[in-house]
Amino acid sequence: MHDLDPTIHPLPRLTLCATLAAGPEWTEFHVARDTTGLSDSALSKHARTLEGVGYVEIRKGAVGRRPRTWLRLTPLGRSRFAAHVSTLERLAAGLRDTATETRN
Amino acid sequence: MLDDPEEGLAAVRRQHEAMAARIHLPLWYRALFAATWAGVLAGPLLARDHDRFGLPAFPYWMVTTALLLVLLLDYRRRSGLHTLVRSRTYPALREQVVPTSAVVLGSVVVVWGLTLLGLPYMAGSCALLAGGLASRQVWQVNRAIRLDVVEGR
Repeated sequence: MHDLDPTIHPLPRLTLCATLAAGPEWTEFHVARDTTGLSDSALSKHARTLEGVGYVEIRKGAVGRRPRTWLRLTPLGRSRFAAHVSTLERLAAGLRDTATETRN
Repeated sequence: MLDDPEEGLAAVRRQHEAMAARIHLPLWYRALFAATWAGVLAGPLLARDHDRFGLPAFPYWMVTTALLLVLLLDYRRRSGLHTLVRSRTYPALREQVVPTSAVVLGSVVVVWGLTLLGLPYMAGSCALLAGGLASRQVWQVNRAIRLDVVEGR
């Protein structure tokens, strides 16, 4: 059995979590969109899914008169993402070992 | 869904690198920071001895301090520290506390001390040198934060 989180596992959500984990506490929506390469609607959809399970917090506000949206990983989301990446690393190492044994 | 864990790890690495690439200080920023910090340090000296340096009377200290505040606010954004509520505590920030404090406090003590001792040319030279050191230090902090982001710390 492995501990891959099914909510984080799809590539767009993994990408979004990686962006938020690497960024400052709060990341602006447009920064997340530009770095992930997701469209506005796809980013909103995945962010809402992650918000639904408590991994991401979404905050709306304004800078001057311009509406802005900020995203952040919650402590739960951060720990689940770290566990997910650790599992991916373990699985990748396992696959590499298997490939080496097969060659030998 | 991802079938290959390597693909997922590569995506994570790409995002770290993309976020790290946003954190950089352009050369103009570093030059302006050096000049501004030198100006803040030399402000009291220039207020008193501007004739000696062939400069007109001008509120140097007030203007350079205001400019420094603007640059520091901009630095938060350029260094990945720009946040709505609070900054993330990058490990790099803790590591850089001592050198940053040494540069800031050291330059204030030396330049203002020389100003008080009535050594304007030495104080002016030290202010220029301190500007260069401060600029190097903000770049070092920026570089360390970028490394934290790439490494996923």
